[in-house]
Amino acid sequence: MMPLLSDKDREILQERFEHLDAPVTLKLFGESDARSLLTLPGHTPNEMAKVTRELLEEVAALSDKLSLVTYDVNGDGKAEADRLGIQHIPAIVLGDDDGGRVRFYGAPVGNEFPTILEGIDALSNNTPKVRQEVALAVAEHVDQPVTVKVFVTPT
Amino acid sequence: MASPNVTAEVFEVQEFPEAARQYQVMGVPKTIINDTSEFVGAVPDEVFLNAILQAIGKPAVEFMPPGGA
Repeated sequence: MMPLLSDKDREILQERFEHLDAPVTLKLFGESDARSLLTLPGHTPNEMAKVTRELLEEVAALSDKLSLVTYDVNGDGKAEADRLGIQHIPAIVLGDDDGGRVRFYGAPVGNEFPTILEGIDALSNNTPKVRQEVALAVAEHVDQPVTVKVFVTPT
Repeated sequence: MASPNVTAEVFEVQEFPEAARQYQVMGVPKTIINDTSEFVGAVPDEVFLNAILQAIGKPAVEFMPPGGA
């Protein structure tokens, strides 16, 4: 199969990933090929979930600091998806955080891809994007669970 | 990342039009905090923080302007 990333893309990403410090785990929630190839009544295979898996496999292969764990939400990944409250596929969870607190719903195409790359950088190098004084204020004042949803388009 | 209390979810609206409809997304990026507080567009960090504090019923925090006196 044709890779999704061109040779040039690979080169750019590899160079970028050289700056990674700590290992970063990417968790992908989707559905297995075997299942999505079946045409079950009332079930539409999620094409984007398939593309997302291929892309993340290619990305994770570019650095030994990156690892990809895939969960089949219809199979053995259901318990983990339920635990984290994953509501849509494809879903990408960045990092090992037990609550899966940084998550992306949808294929990482267009603008979402650089955002995911920045998230990987920030987690690996422990460099939040917010100003330090704001980060400190967040740690001090946000003392209860907060869910922030951000809606974006691919372009 | 700055707080263990914050969960961030990014939705791609074209793939999840129902979620976009549910939250009446007319422009992007649209940010919704705890399903109560919301804003459209990119905002400075401190505005974001204060939107979070508003959503959890806490007073706003004031910051010196970046690079200011």
